Amino acid sequence: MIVVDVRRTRTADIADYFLKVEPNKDYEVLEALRALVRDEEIDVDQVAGIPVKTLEDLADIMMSCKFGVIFFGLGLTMSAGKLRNVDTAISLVRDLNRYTKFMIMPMRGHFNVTGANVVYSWQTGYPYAVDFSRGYPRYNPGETSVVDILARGESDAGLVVASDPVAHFPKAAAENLVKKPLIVVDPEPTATSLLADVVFPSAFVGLEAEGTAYRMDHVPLPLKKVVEPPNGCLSDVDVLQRILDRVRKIRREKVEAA
Amino acid sequence: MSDLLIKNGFVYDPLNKIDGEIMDLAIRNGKIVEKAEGNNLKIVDASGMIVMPGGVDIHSHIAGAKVNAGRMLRPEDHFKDVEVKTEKTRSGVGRSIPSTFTTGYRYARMGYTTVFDPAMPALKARHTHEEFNDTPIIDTAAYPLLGDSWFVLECLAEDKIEECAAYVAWTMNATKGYVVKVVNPGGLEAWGFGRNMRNIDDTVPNFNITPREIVHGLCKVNELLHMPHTIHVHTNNLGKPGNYVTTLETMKCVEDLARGDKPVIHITHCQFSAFKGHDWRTFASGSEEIAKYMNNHSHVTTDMGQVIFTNTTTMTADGPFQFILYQLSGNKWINGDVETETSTGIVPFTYSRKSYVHATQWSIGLELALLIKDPWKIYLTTDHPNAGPFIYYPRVISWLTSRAAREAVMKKMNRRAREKSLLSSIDREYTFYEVAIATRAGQARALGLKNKGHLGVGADADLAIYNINPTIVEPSKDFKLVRKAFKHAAYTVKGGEIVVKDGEIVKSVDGKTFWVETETSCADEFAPRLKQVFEDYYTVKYENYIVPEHHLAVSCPVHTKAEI
Repeated sequence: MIVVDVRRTRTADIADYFLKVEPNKDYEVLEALRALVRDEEIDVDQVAGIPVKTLEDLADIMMSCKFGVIFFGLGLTMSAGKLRNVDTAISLVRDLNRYTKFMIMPMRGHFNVTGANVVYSWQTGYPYAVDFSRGYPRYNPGETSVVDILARGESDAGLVVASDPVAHFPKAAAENLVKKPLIVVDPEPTATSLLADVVFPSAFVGLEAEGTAYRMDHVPLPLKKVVEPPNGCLSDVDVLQRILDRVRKIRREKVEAA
Repeated sequence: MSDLLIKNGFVYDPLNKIDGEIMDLAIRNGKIVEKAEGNNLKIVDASGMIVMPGGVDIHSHIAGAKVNAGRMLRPEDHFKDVEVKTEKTRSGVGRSIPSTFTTGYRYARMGYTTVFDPAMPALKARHTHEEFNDTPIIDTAAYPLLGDSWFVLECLAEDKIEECAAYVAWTMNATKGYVVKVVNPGGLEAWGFGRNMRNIDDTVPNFNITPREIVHGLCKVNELLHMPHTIHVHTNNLGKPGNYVTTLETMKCVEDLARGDKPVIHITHCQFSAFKGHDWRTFASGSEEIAKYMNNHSHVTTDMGQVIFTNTTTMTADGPFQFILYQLSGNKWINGDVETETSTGIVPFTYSRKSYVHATQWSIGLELALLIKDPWKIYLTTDHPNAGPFIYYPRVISWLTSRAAREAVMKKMNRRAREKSLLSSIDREYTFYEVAIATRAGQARALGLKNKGHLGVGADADLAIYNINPTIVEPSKDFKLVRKAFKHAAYTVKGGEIVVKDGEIVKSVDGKTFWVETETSCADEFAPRLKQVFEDYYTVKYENYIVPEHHLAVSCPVHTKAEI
C-alpha cells in the first residue's frame, strides 16, 4: 500500500510507502508519474518535494503489479487544480492499463452519499444540485448547488436530512442556512440540529429501520432492522412522507378555498 | 375497477390469427374476458382505429447500474429534452438515457406496456429492481449477466452442467432475474486483463474454456431449467468487421440442441453482429448470409438493433467493444469491472447518415428484418439506447412498412453505402399484421409470456389503440401518418385501465416485475458450496446478495420446474 498525502496520517503509518507531497502540488506529481509510465525522462531532481528517483520506483511498482487501484478523496478534488487533478489521475490509470490492470475509485464519505447520488440520477438524470423550481429537473453546479444557493442567500427555508452542513459548509453558507427557518431530520444531534428550528429525531437505518445503502463502488447492500426504534421515533422515509402528505393537503385546501 | 369495452376496432392479434377484423374486446379485472357488463361499463369507441396488444420490448437498456452511470456521464443529453410535471405525472428528463418516470411514460405513449432490461450485473440486482420500482406503467424484467461469471466458467470448464444449472437457478431466484444473458462470452473475463476473444474457439485466460463451450453449456443449462426464454446472446466480436462469421458459428454451435421448431438461442441486436469485410474500409453488410441461415433453421430468433441517425449513448457489458468505440469516436467514456461477474462500458456516439459505415449499419438492420422471411424470427429493437433511443420506434415501423420511407432516407445518405445497400432491391413491406408480430406478439412468444402479446380470453388487458384506419391509409405511401399514429397512441390500456389518451398520460399505474422462480431438487445440498464461493470470491455476503421478493414493488414470479 502506498499513501500519498500532505501530512502523515494513521493510514500512512500502516502503509508500505508514504510519500509526502507539498500542498496543492498533486497535479504535478500525477503528471510526472504519467511521464514516467510513458517512458519519458524528467529533467528535474524532484517534483512537489518528492525525489524523481522515488517517483521512478513508484512508477515501476505500479507498472509491474498484477492489479492496482488508485483511491482518491477530497484532498485531490478540492485542492488547487480540482477537477483537473481527477482528470490527470484518470489519464494515469488509462496509461497504466497498457501494462497491467489498474482501476480508480473515489473515496466517498458520509455513510450513504453514493446512494443519494444514485437515486437522484435515476429519478432526475442528475446526481446532485437538482433544481425543480421550473417544474422539471435542472442541473447547473455553481448555480443550483446548495453551497452556492446558500452563499448567495437565495433560500427561504432549509430541510436537512441526515447531514451536517453547519459543520462542513463554508461559514457564509452555514450562516445563511441557520438565519432562515431550518428543519433537520437526523438520528443524532449535530451542529446543524443544535441550530435548527424543528428537529425530527429519526430511527437509525440499519439498526432501527431497514433500507438500502450503496457502497462507494455502487454495489447496493441491504440494511436490516434489528431493534425497535424508541417510541414515537419514525424512519426518515416516514417523516418525509408525512410532511409530503401534509403539504399536499394544505395545497389542496388552498386550491379548494380559491 | 369498472368493466371496459373496446368497440369496433380493427384488431390485429397474430397469436390468435386475427388480421384486422372489426371486433369488440371486453375487459374485466385487468384481463380480457368473453363479455363485459355492469352498470358503469365504460366504452371506448375504436372505430376506424387499429387495436393491438400492448407493445413488448425484448431488449432495451432502461434501468440499473450501467444506465444510471450513463445518466451521470451525460448531463448534456438531458438539458434539451425535459418532461414537465403534470397533475398525473412526475417530472424528468430525456433523451437517450431518460430518467425512470420518463421511460415509463414515453413507452406507454407509444402503446408499449412490457419492456425488459437485458443486462443486469447480478451483484447489482437490487439497484435494477429499485429503478424498476420507480418506472411507472410498464411491466419489467431483467436478464442477469452469466456468460463470464467465474462460477459458471469453472463449472462448464469441468463439464459440470448440473452444478452450473443449480447455480443459474439460484441466481435467477436470488437476483429476481428472468433470462440467461451472455455477452461476448469469455471476452469480458479476458478484458479484465486487457485481452479479448478473437473467435469462438479462443481460450479464456485463467479458465480452460472457449466461448463455444460457454454458449453450448449455458444453452443446455437453459433447457434443464425449462426457462421461459432461450439464452440471450450478444456475440463475440460484436461491432467488428467480419463478425458475421462468428455470429453464424455461434448459431451453429447449438444446432445439436434444437428440438423441433422450438428456438434455443436468441442472437440479440443482430445488426451489430452482421458485418462483412476485413477492416472499416472494406466494411460491408453480412445480412444476406445471416438471413439465409435463419431462413433455413428454426432454432434461432433475433432482434434488429436498428441504427437511427442521431446522437445517442452506447452502453453494453462488452467492455472491450466499448473501448474500441471510445478509440473510434474520441468521446468521453466509462469502462468498468464488476468483480467476478462481468464488465461494462459507456460511450456517447453519433450515427451520421453521411458516414459510409453508419449508413451501411442502418441498411443492415432493415435488410435483416426484410430478408428473414418469417416475422416470428426477428423483432423490432434499436437495442435502446445503443443504436438509437426507443422514441424512434415509430420511424423504424414506417421503414418496415414502406419502401418509399426507406428510399427517402437512402436519398440523403452516404452514396457508396446507398449504392452497395441491398435495400434498393428489396420490395417487401410489412403489413400491420407483421408489425404486430415484430413489436409485440413475436417478442411475447419468444419470452414465454403466456398472457402478453395477444388479446385472447384470459390475456392481460394490455393493449394499444392507434388512430389509423387500415382500410383508408396505405402504409406504403402514407408512411408519415403511420409514424404519427404509432408515436402517440390514441389509447393505451394497461392491466384494464386507460393510462394514455390521445398521446397523453391520464393515469399512472405500477408495472409488474417478472422473474423466474425455478424449483430444483438440489438447492439444499448446493447451498454450502455456494456459500463457500461467496467466502472465496465475493466482497458481499451470500445473504446480502439475495434480493428479497418484498423488495419488488409488484412481484410476478413465473414458476418452472427444473430437471435437476
